[in-house]
Amino acid sequence: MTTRGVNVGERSKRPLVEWVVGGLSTIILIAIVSWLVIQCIWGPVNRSVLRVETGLSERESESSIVTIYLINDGGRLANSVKIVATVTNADNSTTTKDIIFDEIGPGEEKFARLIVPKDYLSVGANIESYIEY
Amino acid sequence: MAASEQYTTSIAIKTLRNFGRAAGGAVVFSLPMLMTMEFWGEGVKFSSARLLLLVVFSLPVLVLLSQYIGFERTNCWFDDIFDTVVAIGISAVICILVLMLFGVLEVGMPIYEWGTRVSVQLVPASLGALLARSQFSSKPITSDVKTEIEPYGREMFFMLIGAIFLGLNIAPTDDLLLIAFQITPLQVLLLLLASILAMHSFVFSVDFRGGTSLSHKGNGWSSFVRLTLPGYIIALAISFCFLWLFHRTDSLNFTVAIYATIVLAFPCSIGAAAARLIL
Repeated sequence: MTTRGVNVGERSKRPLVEWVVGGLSTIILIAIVSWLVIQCIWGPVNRSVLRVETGLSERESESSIVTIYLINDGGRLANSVKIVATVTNADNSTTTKDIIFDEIGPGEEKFARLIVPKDYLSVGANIESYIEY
Repeated sequence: MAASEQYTTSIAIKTLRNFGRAAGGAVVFSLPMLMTMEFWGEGVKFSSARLLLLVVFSLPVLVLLSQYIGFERTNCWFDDIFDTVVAIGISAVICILVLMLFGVLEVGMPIYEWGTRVSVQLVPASLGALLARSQFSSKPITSDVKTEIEPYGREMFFMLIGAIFLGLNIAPTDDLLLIAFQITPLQVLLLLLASILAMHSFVFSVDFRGGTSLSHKGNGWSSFVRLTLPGYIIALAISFCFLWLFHRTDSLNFTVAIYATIVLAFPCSIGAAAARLIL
């Protein structure tokens, strides 16, 4: 009996459930590998792409709270992201506040809450610096 | 009368030896996690609902583990359930004592903090307690292992245990996410292939002690499709579950969550492959 003959005989003795489980696992794995190959070819750029957005404000009794969102649309981690928020007050004077995020990964979204005077006019935020690995 | 006393004493000694073995297993398996600050550090908050899920879903796994190995020989399901409860109790005591020694748990701390910090350690410690007989017993347990459940299911179960153990060690750490953040899609793909290759070669290609009859029967492709690939899918599933349980996927988009899952599946798959040999 050839080795091939032994294998065919051995295969036929295997319970069907083993082949069903193996087949399903193979399909799942092929799907994941295909998706990764697509990511390799058309995935996000291999650098940090940061953007900052200002959310709605919440009025408190003596102040307002403004949420500042930081989003990384790129494909790399950014560290020590420094955001400068500029608050325009009711008398048109401006004050600046620094917000520092330790790190933000690819596709990640983080936020900080900024406490500003209750009667502020506007809040703007810009990314001043960050470190990219 | 003397014979009766002697019998009672020998039962007591045997029980104490079993409990001591379980305590030893709990310490050995949970110590890496007891000494990892991501499990108990300041600001670490695990959702109570998710912790409850972890404990509840681990119960049938622990009962099955008691059936296969356990810290003592059992005869029926009631024994297995009883041993599981004992293992959880011993693990809770061990975790509380060690965490108090480390200054992590203090008298006067809110009960919620105690509950969170202990319950997250219960699963690995209980696993250790129930694996104690395979690790610390002087007698081989192969003859005790129940064989009525088909070997394929047992192989899958042991792979699940190995994946759970290594996955639990690493899932809550920040290092894992850092790797997932800085890795490229090509590296993720290579890591996935390396995990499968390591898993397969660990048991089938390299002549390790403990390779089972299932490993040696049939050709390589048969074993690869029936055992290695399902084992890797188990490792992937466990990885994703742990990442979700420990809030690691909460702020991630889909792509990075998949990357983190594949990164964590690397140690999980090694654990799964190793468990088939060690247990």
